[in-house]
Amino acid sequence: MDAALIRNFSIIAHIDHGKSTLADRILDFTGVLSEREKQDQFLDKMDLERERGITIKLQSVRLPYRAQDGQQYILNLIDTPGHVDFSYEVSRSLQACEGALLVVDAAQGIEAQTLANLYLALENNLTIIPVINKIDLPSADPERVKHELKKIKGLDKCEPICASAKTGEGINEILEQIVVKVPAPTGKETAPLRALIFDSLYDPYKGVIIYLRVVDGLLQKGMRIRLFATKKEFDVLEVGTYAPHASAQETLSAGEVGYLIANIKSVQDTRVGDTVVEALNLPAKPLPGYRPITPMVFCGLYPIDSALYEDLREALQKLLLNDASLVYEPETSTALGFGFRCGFLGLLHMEIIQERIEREFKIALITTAPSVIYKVLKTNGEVQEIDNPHLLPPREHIDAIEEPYTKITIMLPNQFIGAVMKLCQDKRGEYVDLKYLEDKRVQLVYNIPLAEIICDFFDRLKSQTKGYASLDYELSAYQASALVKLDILLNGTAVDALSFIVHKDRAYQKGKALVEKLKTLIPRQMFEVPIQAAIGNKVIARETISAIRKNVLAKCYGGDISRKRKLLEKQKEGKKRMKSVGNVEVPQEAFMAVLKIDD
Amino acid sequence: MIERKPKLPDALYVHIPFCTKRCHYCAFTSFEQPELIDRYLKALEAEFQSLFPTPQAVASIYLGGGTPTLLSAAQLESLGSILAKFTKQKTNCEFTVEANPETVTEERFTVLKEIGVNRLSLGVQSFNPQLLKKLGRKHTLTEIYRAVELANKLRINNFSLDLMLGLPAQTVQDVISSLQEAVRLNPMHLSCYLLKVEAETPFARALANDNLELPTESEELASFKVMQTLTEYGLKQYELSNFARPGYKSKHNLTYWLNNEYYGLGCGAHGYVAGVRYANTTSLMNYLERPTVRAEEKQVSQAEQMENFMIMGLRLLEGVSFNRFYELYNRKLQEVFGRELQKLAAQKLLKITGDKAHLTSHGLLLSNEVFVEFVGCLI
Repeated sequence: MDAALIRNFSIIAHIDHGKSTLADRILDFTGVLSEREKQDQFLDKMDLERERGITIKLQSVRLPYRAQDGQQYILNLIDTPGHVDFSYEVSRSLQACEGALLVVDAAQGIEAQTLANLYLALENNLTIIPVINKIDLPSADPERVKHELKKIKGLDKCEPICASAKTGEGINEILEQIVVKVPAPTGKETAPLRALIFDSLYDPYKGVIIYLRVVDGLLQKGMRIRLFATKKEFDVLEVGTYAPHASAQETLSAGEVGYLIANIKSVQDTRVGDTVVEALNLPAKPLPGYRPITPMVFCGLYPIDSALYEDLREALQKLLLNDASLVYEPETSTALGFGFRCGFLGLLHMEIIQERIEREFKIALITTAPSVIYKVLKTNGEVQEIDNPHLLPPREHIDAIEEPYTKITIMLPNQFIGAVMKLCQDKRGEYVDLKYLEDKRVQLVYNIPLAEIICDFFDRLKSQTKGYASLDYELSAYQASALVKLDILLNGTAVDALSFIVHKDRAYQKGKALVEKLKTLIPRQMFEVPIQAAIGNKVIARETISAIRKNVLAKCYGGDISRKRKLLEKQKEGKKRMKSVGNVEVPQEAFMAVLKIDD
Repeated sequence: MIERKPKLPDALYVHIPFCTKRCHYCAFTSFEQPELIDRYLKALEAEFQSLFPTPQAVASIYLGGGTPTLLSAAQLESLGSILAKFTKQKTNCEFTVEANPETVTEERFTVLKEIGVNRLSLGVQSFNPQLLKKLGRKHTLTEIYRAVELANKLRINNFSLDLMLGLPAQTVQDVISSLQEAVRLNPMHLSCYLLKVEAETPFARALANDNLELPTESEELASFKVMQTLTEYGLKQYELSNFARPGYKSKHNLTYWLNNEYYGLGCGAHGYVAGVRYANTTSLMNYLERPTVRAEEKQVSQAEQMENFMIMGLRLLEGVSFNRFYELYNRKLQEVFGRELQKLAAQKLLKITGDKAHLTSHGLLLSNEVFVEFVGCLI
C-alpha cells in the first residue's frame, strides 16, 4: 500500500452536533454501504449507544475515494467516543490519525468537550479541518460560529467548511480537503513494527479483535507479535481492514489502519494505547503516550437476590472481556451481603455497566452511591487509599483526608454565569478563570472536588442553564479537605452501604436532607422504622417511618380472585425490587438517594 | 369434616347487570338500560340451555348485580322458570337475592319467595342519609326499614345487610351508629367492607381532583375495631368482612373462600368449572348477541390452585385446613408453604392451631401482607 495515498482522520464533535450523521453521510458518499445497510448511524454498533445517541466503543472504517486530482485514495475514518468519561480513548484514536474534522453545530457553537478534544488533537499535531454542520437549520448562524472558531488559538487561519450532513451539502468539499490538507502518514515500512492499539473488542468466535494503526513497519499474518505493555506474545491469525465489513488481507503496512486477530482471550491483554511490536524484531522504543487506565469512580454492585452472586461474578467477567477500563473485586457488606466493588472511568461508564448487567444478564442490582478514592493520612504515618466510605478509619486515627480535585471547564451563555458560579461554589469549587469566547458565551474554569462532580453536578448544571452549558473535566490533584463520614442507621442499625463522606460544614444539612429523602423512598413496614444520620456516635438528624397498621378490606367474591391476584402480584413485584436490610425492606433507589437530595 | 371435591360444581351465580343509576363507587358490570331486561333474560336462558342439557343439581344459588330486584314481578317469574327448568335445587338449597331497598315491593318479594328464594342480601350500605347521597345510593332510610319489614312479613327471615365503612368524611361515631342501627334490625348475617376507590368510577375522578375526603388510617382502624364488636351482638366474624349468627354463614360465598368450583352465568359473570376459571363478556351487547361465548378461559394449574386455596381460605377466620389441603392436592401444606408459614408466624400475622392455619388479630388487619406471600410463590 502506498502510504502517500492514505489519509487517516477522526471526527471531533460534541454530542448531538451530528458526528454520527456526518460519518454516515461520508460512508454513503464513498459508496461503501449497500442500500440495506443504510440504516442510521452505521458506526454505533451497540444498542445502548443507539438508544443514548452516543458512541461508546470506537469503530474504524476504510473508505475508497477518487479525488479531483484523479488519484484513488484510501481514507481511514477512526470514530471516537463522544463522552468525557472516555477522553483517554479519544486521545489514542487521535494519535492514530494525521488529521481531524472539528464538527460544530451551526446553531449551538463550540462546546467545552469539543474544545478539550480539539486541544488533544492539537497536542498530537493533527491537521484540523473545521466543519460547521447543520447549516440547513433555521436557527443556524454560521457567521457567529465562524467568528467563535477563529478566536481559538490554532484555528485562526482555517476557513471552516459549511456543511449539512442531513442534506449532503459540503460533504464533497470535506473529502477533498482531507485529501489536500491532511498529511499522508510518514512511518517507515522498513523499520521494526510499531502499531498503536486504539481499541479492541471481544468476539465470542474469534477472540479479541484489535483495532490498530500501523505506524512503522509491516504487520502480517503468521508473525509472532508482542504487546508491549502487557508483554504478552501471540501469533497473528488474521489481519485486515473494515471497508466497512471485515476483509482479510495479507499485510498491513506503515500508515494503514485495520484489525488484528491473534487468538487473544481477553481485552485485559490488549490495552488501548499500547504498542504492537514484532517479538523477534523489537523496536528501540514503544509509541509514546501509553498509560494504564485508572478508574475514577467506584461503587458497590450487589444482586438483590443474594443467590445470584455467582451470576453477577460471571456477568462482570464477561463484560471484562470487552472492557479493559472496568475493574472489580469482591466486597462484603453487612447490609447487602456479597457483591463487588467496581471501578469506572466515570458516571456514564458506571451507568452503562449497570444497565448492561440488568439488561443482558437479567440480574436486578443494588448500586451503592458512587465514591472517589480518598487518601487517608493516618496518625501512625500510613497512607490508606479507600474507595468505599464505609472503610474510613475511626476519626481518632486520622490526621487528614485528601480527595481528588478536577479542573472543570464549563462553556455557557453569559446570562447563566451567576447561577453556575453559585452552583460551583455550592459544590465546594474554587474559582480559577472566566473568559469571554464571544459576546454572549463564556468559559468558566473551576477547581472542584471530583466527589461533587460525580454526585449530581452535571444534571444540576443542565437544569440551571436550560441545557445550554457544556462541561469537560480532567483530574488535577489531591487536596486535603475537612471530611467526615456520615452513617445512616435504619431501625437502630448502621447500614454500611448507605455511609458516605461529606464535608464537615455540610454534614448536618446533607444528613437531614438524606433522612428526609429516605423517608419518602422506603415504604412503610409492619413496624415503625427510625432513620438516623450520625457522625460517629452523634445522631445529627432523625425521621421516622410509621408502621402500616391496616390494609383496605375490600369485598372479595368469586369473580374477584383474578383481580385480587393481579393486585397482589403487583404488590409482590414491588417487593422483589427491594433488599432486606436487617428486617427492613429497602428499595433500590434508596441506595442512590444521596445523589438525589437537594441541598 | 373433610369435604370431597365434587365432580361438578353445585354452586350457581347469576349476574343481573342492571341498575336505575350506577352508584359513585361501583366498578361492577352494570347498565342503566332496564328496557333490555327482557332480551337479557332470553340470552340468559340460552346460556343456561347450552351449559345444562340436563337439570343441574345445585346447593346454592346467588342472584347478584347490578340490582336483581330491578326486574319486575313478571320478569322475576320468568327468571324463576328458567332456574326451575335448568336446575334442580337440593334439599336446603340456599337461594340468595341481592336487593336494593328502593326496589323492594310486596309483589316482587312474593314472587321471589314463590321461586324459592330463602335468603336476602339487602344493599343498605349506610344509615346516614347524607352518606347515602354521597355514595349515589337511591334509597332512603324509610325504604330500608320497609324492606326489612316486608322480609319479616313474608318470612324471608334469613336476611343479610351490606354495609360500607371508610366512607368519605365518615366519622367513627357514624360507624358506631350505623352498626347499632344494623344490629337493631336483627339480621342473620352482616357484610361490612371498607370503601375501595376503584379506577374509572366517579369516586376515582373525585379523588384525582382532590375532591374526596377519605378517612385517615387511624379512623379506618377505629372503624375496623368497632366492626369487630359485632360479635358481642351475636354476629360472629367468620370472614374478613362477614359476620353471622350461628348456622347462618353464607353457604354460597363459602364456596369461593374454600376455593371450590361454581358456575357463573350472565354478562360479566365469572365461573370456575373443571379446573377452568372463565369470564363472560362485560359488554352487554356482546352478551345479548352471543351469550354462550366466553370472553376468557384459563386452566388453573395445581400450583395456582394451591396458592388460591391459601389466599381465599385465609380470609376465613377459622383458617385453612391442613387435612383438606392434603385431600385436594395430595401434598402436605407444611411442605408446600413451609417457608411462608414460618415467616408469617414469626411476624405474628398467622398462627397454627391444630389442623388449621389462620390469621391472628394482627393478621386480620394486614391480610394483604399475608396473601402477597402466597401469590406467585409456586408459579
